[in-house]
Amino acid sequence: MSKKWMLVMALLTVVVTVLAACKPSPTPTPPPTEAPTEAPTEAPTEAAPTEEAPQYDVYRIGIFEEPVSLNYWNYLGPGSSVWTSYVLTGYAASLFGLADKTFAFVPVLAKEIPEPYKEGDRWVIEVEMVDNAVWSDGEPVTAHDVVFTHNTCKELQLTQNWPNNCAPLGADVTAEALDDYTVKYTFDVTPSLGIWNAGVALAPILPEHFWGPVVEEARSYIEGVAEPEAERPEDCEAEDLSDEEKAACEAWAAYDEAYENARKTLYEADPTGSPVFGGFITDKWEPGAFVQRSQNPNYYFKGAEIIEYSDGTWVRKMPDGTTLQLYGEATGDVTLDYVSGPYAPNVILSIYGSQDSAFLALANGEVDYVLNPLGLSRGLREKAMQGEGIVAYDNPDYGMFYLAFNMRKEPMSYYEFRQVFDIIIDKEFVINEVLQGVVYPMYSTMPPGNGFWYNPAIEENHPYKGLTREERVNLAVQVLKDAGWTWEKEPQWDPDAEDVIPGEGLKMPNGEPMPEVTILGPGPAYDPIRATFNQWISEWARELGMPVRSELTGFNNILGPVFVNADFDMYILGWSLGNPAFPDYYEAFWASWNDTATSGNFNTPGFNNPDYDALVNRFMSTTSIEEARDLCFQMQEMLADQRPYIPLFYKRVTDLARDNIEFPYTEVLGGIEAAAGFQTDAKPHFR
Amino acid sequence: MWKFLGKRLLQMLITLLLFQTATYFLLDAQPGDIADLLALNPDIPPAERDRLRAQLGLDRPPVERFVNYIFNFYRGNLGVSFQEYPRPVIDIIKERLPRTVVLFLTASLVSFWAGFVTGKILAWKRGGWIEYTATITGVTLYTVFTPWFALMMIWLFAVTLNWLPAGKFLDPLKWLDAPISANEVFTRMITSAFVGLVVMFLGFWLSNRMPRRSRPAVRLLSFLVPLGGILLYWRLNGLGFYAWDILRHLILPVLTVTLIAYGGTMLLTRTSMLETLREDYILTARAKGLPEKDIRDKHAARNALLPVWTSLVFSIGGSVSGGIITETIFSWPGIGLTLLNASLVADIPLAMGALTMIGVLTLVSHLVADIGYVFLDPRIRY
Repeated sequence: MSKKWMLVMALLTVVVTVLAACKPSPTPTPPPTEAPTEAPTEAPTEAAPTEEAPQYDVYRIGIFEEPVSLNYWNYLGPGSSVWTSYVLTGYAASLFGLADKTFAFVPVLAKEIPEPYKEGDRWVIEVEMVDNAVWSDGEPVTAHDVVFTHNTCKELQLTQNWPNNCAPLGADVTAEALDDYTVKYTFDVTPSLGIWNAGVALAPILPEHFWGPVVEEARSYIEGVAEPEAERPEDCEAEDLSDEEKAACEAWAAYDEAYENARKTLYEADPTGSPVFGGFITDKWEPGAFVQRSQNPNYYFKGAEIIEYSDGTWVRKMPDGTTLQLYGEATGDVTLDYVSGPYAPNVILSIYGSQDSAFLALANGEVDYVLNPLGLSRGLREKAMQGEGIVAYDNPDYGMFYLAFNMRKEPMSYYEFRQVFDIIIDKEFVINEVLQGVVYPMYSTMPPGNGFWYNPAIEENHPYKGLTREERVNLAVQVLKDAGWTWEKEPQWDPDAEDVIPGEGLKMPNGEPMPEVTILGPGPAYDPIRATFNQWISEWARELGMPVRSELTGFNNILGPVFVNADFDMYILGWSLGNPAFPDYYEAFWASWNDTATSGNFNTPGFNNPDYDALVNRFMSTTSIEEARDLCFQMQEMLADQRPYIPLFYKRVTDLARDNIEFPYTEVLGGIEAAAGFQTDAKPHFR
Repeated sequence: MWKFLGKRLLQMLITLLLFQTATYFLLDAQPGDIADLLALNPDIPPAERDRLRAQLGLDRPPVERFVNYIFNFYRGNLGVSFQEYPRPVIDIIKERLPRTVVLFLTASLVSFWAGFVTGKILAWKRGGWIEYTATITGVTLYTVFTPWFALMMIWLFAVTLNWLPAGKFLDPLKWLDAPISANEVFTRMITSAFVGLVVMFLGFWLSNRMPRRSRPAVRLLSFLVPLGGILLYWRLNGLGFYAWDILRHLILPVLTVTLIAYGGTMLLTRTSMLETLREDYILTARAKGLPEKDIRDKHAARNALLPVWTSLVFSIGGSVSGGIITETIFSWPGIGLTLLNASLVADIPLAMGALTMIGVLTLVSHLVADIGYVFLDPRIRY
């Protein structure tokens, strides 16, 4: 190819590029990025006051995984994912909700908090609804929508997260519309906090006028399908099935298939155009690129003022002047006061390929905030903070990282063995000296951030907090000796070297040598904090002569032994603790009937304590929040003593945002991320 | 030739089946499954978890699942994604494959062209400082750590100079009122580029059969006509604004991938040319007094092209899988990123779909390479 020819080609390429670059937008209106030139550029608080209602910019949020679906039925079913929750936040209505900062139980569409009463052998709760709330398409939100959603959940036997909304804890709950704005629920058991406050009352409500035809189509698959009379055989694949069992298998297979088809119809339905209740309508999903949300012009709570007081009072003042005040006389200091939006004309959830890319985009000014459920490493935080106008908001997380023992096996079944681990684990040392304070030490099974349920006495009276290393070693040796453990060579503290002379040949009280035990845990690539704790704990245990080994492995390698087979020694993992208003995890994680080995549930240590079970039973069945709190305090004390788990630490949630975003408040358990970035109530000032 | 093709197609089918068998069982052998991951919620009772497992077919033995999968696959049903249940895998691949193809096909072609041209010139003018500089640059680019290099490119062009977007394939704010989806724009871009390239290729092919004097004009026209046509098409359909936005976002990842691939092609061409230049027929050509340009381009370069062609075709096939890092860093939602995410959460149907697509592309690339040899080297016959 001649030089002349190459020159011509190069020139043409430049010309073409310039031509293309000069091409104007085909849309008649300028793109929304072109903010008015008179828009304030200073920090939000210094925005110039104007006579007209202030205008706000598009709220650009970065996420780094695709939502699974925009179909709300699917979202609470098989398509459940935190990323989907971000793009569907505020989609559904509900009768009740939780207060912003106190997490108190407050009405949403209900007029007030009703009292349960008995009618025959069933409990009844009647809920009166407001009569002026509408969906985004202007249709009223009625009791029929409530009943429709409840019945769909029950009739189609919706899966995954749905049962907690229509049949929590296995209760039989019916719903009936007494008139357009009154719902009557009946229960076969006491509508306890777990069943009502944390279950049915918070259930989502979806519009019947949109989803009705889809549900009808789904119902057609199960019309006339009755549950087979024969009991479901345990294994239909077994070769020695009798004719009756074969018939039962066939009947159940047909039954399952009918319901599966019905659910699939609902989960696969196109949600385009579905009316919503919240501040934003999710109206466009460009796969791999972004999700667009537009203002709901009919948002019921637009302009409502929410006030919370230090004495626990919660107040909501609607724009029409109606006021609802609960839980106090509004005598303390105002701890929260904001007016509900939506403010931004649009919310754009921009999808990035990785966490690094999303935070790089934040630093580069492409997004205003990043929704980040994975936690933020120090390096990434520092990198993102290098961007101009980035503000960090730190909050305690509502989670727990812990060391668990398999109490079904020796030596973990020995009370003193677990006690010794509690003695030797110096959380403050690992966190402050090794990890530079990136997390917080934890003593109770309730994170301190959830002040209502947190029992402060656990930490205040913790017998081993603040001990020196020498004291820990000496105490641990003494405890083991008192319990009948012996050594061939007893571990000793060497004051000159200020170190332990390790013990050897440890024998259990039954005279058997202590078997080697393994602490399973995620590797440093997945979570360096848990990996660090794992190594320090096993090192301290080895100093006592215990043959303890750290096994740092992939998360998937931990799942099977811990949550399926319950065949492990010890492990270090973490939990996100769900609904802060009612900590029902005390039942899920430690009630004997939830033993993973026998029930497949989440009591992984196999903790089996009748006294604890009795407390849990009372906790789950009470309707009094005060009694529940007292029981929760007692359960925390019992767990701190019995130690099926040793809580290690809780994390800090760091939210990074640009300074043009004005949040309604920034101090909240779980951080701004837990409130999905306050899409409705954040004010994005023009950049 | 037809017999050869038939035989190769049969071989390809067997290879694909073996590939699918190996990948399926490797994926399935991962500890834990997606039902475990999805059901790590204490609010979901064991019966629900069992139901989920049954719904996804995970309660069946691995061999039975594999047989079902293969049976369905060869009937055109790739199953539904576990992670995006109940979305069909084929829909996800259809959505993401074009983006990967656009990115890597563009980068492969540009790097091939640039690498081949510079490689042959460097071999021809051996010994100068330009050759040393270019060789060092080529080796550096060939061996550079891809994630680091990609981040440096972003830091330089997007963060520091602010010339190009840092990632993604579009700017959401510009698409708020877009009348059609980005994928539709993508498809149109691919189609228009393909038509343009075919016209351009035909023009060049035609110019070689014309008198020497009129060749430059025909070549210029065969470049300008399709280019003008493409520009006109995008101006008239009112979507040029959106296509330009995608093009802007394409520049940085294409530049990065091109630079990385360029080093290899350039070094390979140079080495191949150096060997060819030692051949007797080059000496003969020189002795005959042929112009230097003819000896270089027609006698040496064409013979040196064979290994470079092989490398190009294989790289196109392999680029789909090799794009995992690039797609992750540039937030380019193609097949590589999909494969990574699907593998991490044990979404076997989706991971299998992506891997099978990579397998098919690689096998087709081998076939294309073999067929290409016939045209490039008349001595090769099947």
